[in-house]
Amino acid sequence: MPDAGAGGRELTARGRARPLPRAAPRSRRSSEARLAYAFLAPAALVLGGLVAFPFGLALWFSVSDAWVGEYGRFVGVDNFVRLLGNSIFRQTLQNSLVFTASAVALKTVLGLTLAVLLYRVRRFRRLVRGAVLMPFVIPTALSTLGWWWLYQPTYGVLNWVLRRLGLIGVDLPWLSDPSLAMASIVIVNTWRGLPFFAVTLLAGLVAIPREYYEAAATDGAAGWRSFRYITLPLIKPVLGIVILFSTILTLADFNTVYVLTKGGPMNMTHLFSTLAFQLGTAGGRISDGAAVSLFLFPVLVVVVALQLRLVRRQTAYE
Amino acid sequence: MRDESTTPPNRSQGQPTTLGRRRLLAGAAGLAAILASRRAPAVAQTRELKILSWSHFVPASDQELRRQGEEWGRQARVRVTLDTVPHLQLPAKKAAEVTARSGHDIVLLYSGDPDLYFDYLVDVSDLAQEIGSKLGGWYNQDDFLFRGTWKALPWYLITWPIAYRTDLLERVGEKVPDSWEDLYRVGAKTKALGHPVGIAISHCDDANFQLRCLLWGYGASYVAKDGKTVTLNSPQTVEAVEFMKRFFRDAMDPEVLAWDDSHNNRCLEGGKCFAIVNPTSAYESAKDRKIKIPGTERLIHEVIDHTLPPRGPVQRATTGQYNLLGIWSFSKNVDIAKEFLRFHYAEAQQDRFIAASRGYNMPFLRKMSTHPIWETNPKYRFAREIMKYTHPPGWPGPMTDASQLVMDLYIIPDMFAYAVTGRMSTRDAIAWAEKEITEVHAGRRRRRT
Repeated sequence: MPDAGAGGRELTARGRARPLPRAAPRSRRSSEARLAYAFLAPAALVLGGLVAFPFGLALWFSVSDAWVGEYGRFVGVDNFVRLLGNSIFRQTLQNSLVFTASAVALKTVLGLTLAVLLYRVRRFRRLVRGAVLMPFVIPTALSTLGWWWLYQPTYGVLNWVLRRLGLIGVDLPWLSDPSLAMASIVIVNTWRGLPFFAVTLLAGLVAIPREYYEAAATDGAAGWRSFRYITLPLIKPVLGIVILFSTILTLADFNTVYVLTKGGPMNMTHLFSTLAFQLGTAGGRISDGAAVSLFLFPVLVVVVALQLRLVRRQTAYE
Repeated sequence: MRDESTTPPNRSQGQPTTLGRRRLLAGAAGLAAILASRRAPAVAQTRELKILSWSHFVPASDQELRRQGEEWGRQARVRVTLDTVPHLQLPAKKAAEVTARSGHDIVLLYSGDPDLYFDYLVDVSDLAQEIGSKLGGWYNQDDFLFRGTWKALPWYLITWPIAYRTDLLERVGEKVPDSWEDLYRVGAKTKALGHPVGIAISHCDDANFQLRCLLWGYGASYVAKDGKTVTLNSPQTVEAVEFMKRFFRDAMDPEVLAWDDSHNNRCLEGGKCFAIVNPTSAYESAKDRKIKIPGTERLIHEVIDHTLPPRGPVQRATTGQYNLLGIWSFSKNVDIAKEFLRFHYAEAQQDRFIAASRGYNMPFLRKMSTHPIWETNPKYRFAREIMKYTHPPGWPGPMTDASQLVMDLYIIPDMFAYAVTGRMSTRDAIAWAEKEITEVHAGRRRRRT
């Protein structure tokens, strides 16, 4: 970095002093600032209008007694307290946690496995990587309808195939048994979210220098050990971000449940989003719906903060 | 009008037009007048009436409504637009329009909507009385008074009779089931042959309607006539739930716990179910698609017949899809909307509307309920009588936003589901449902206070 002398001069390579460029006059600086704000304004407006305003409104609704078409009065945490006393909500809370934990865990394990496999693919690499993305790019409602058809109790393909293969004697009640219904929606969510994990983790894998593996191989470490001590630590930051995003998106899943079960049987698959929709949109109780949606918001904020902090502690090999 | 003074001499040769001083002044004056009056000039006004409805299960019904819109639109010089959305998306659409105070003019309302959107709907008492007096009056008129006012016009009812297989009935040597006990007895026999009865006990509208029919048949109800007092926890409800436990075990398959509104149709059309409690759509669809009985060449619609919904030990009482039409109070076309509704509710148009729906749309108007469509096909015999057994979903209470939410949360189907699966005892399931329904009604009271 050039050394600026006390007299506002810069030393050149030949040791001669050259005057520093003068600082822009105040009026020019302020006009540049105005221009900068003008350039930022559209993005700020979009963010404010599409993110901050709806979020603020949802926050207000959750602490008000608003009904559809009304903004309501402030009622404090009444809605949240009342929700805790409601058995459908308590069931929904449990479902949401089980659903999110199971789906994210499955996506992490399978996504990492798929990423490693994709990394090793040599032939038709682009085709294979493109094909893996299919579940992620098909519109959710459409692909979930496909699953709905597969799970059908009377004429479903899944039961038919399993019976033909001799794996089951009687049809499995995929969507009518509470445990199987939960498993079914977890499977669909995992199937849809897997490509996001795989492709993002693949990018992390590609970025790891080959020399590390070569050095490890020279030292006699290969296979699981190189994965455990090289791959995993080096993709930890990517993995952390992917898990973070996936947790938030999985917790907010709506389509899977709405198309497959509508929260049934016996509310055993209701998630925050589907219950909030039933209460707030169909039932007109906007405040209850908002409170359901935002119930876990404080917990999520803490989780996000902790996870981001963890991610920042990157592993480096010198 | 062509102004010679400003017309360029070589216009025909494609040279650019020049704007003369007089035209500029005239234009400016005209613009000022338009701005001052805050109304578009008469020649530029295109009146438009927008209607929001569901995608009808019989598409010809929507086509007929569109045709009526075009016919009336030509006479009244109004462009009529009919937007249809799937029935499950309609609540979200209406909520969005009310929040934005903008959207369509006429909207299809479900049973609880006039109460939920009470402040956003135009009073249509004048229309209701006028139409009622011309067409023999409304069935159960008081059911449609929301806080003493006509906030919507009753449009049509979709009924839930029993649809059953006549060939299977013959095979087991039984008569047409008339009561829930009959349906149980026959269903147990047909289930042994691989043909169970299909009553949904799940999160779908069919389950809501069918299970209210059972509950009411045993003399039970979930809310009193005042629409406030929760009455579910009663010996009659216990009897109804106990009956369903037997019915589920002996005459049905567990898959009914996961059914949506289309499953029972497919179960009957596909040849599995002996009977379902459902509108005539399964029969009509099987007829249209010429579906055969599996393993035979016989068309299945030929062996599907309908009869009245089952009666219980106390009474025969059922419900159905109550569809109403309302006009948003924030609409800028209230008068036009009323004019269109006058046209649509005229006898000739109602006649065509019912015919197009193949009798699926059952009118609340006495004169229209004798439509010949229900006489032409013996499989619609039930239609002559069903209206007198049909009540709104919150019966004996009124249609309110609470009765709608009890439906939307599927509390009654879940009560039965908890009991028939053994996840709760009968009494616990009833107590659970009672608590949930009480909370729903408490929410309604909070809004009113």
